[in-house]
Amino acid sequence: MIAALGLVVGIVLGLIFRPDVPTGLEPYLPIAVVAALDAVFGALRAFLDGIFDDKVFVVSFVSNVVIAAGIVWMGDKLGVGGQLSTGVIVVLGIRIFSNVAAIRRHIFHA
Amino acid sequence: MSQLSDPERAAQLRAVPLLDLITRQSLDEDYQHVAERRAQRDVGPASRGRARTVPTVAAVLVFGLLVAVAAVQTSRNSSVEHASREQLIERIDARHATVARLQQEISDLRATTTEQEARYGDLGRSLSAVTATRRNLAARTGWGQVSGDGVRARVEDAPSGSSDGQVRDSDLAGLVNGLWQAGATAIAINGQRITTLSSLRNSGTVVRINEVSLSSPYTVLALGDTDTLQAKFVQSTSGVRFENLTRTFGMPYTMDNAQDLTLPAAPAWMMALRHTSTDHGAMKEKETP
Repeated sequence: MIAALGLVVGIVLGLIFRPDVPTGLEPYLPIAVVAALDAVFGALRAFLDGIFDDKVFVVSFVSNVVIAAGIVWMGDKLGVGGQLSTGVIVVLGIRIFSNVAAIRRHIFHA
Repeated sequence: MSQLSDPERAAQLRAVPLLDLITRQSLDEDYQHVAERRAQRDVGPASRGRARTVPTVAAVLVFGLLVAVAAVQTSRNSSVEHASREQLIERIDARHATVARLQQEISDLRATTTEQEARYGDLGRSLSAVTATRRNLAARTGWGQVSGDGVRARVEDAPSGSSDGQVRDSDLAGLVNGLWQAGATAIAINGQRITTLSSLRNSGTVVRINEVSLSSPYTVLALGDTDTLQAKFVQSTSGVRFENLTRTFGMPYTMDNAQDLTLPAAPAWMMALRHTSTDHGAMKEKETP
């Protein structure tokens, strides 16, 4: 419940202040968001499984974001940024899908 | 999830294809590890303190912030990213036209400014010329205070006290006329400036000028060339007559060169413009005082 409140507060803060993203970081923001989404759904599934641990969540959140953005950044430097970001999105997307499927099984007991 | 031992799990992972592996590992294994370790130590999840939810909430808050910022950024960029090439070229052309128009405006305004500056310079020059003329005229006509070198003449009633020995308006008028003839540029009697409108008039025993009564002794200040003013005065008809007069009636009279004389302007009521005409002669104005 408190976590949901935090989510809402974060979104509202972002909408109110509309911080300007530095141009250099702009291409990595969507990847970071997808990585963070993966961490959040993983945490939700773990919570429903009853094995949630906040330390693991925070560490996986930060490392997901940093690693995803870092991979794309490195790909940009090597000239394969587009392909690498596609790869990252595919992997994270599959993880998100299966996590969401597990969550669905928990909620609907199906 | 699967409660297999480590070697078994590793063997299983090696066997599965990549996508399958990703699907199977979709939950971070760390959750599993931590849960197992906790189970071994027999510490239930209920022992977690409330304070430890703070990092979770902070992380979720950061997530929300990221989502919002990314959405805002995307919507902000969408107008540029979604516009077609033609539209962008059109926009660029429109901006180019605007820039060209503004630059044209700038050069027009610059030309106007140069022109106006030239006119301003002309006006400033003619203003200073007019001011100089005005100053000269004011000095000549008694409308302004003047100072310079000149002569100081002093005349008073004869000590005998006879009525003939009194200085009269006509006597002073002779003195003033003589000084004008000698080339004086400005004259004042006892601090009263003589202008073209001034009149010397007797009123009983006193002489009135500029509607102010004067009495003996009379000090006449005249600005002019100190080298020639006295000499020319004694040669002028009025000067000769005045000298004779003072000698005949025994009026004490002296005239000396003086430096740094200051003559006041005529009284303000005399300066009201009575009649004037412009240089063109086309327009005539009359002003009642």
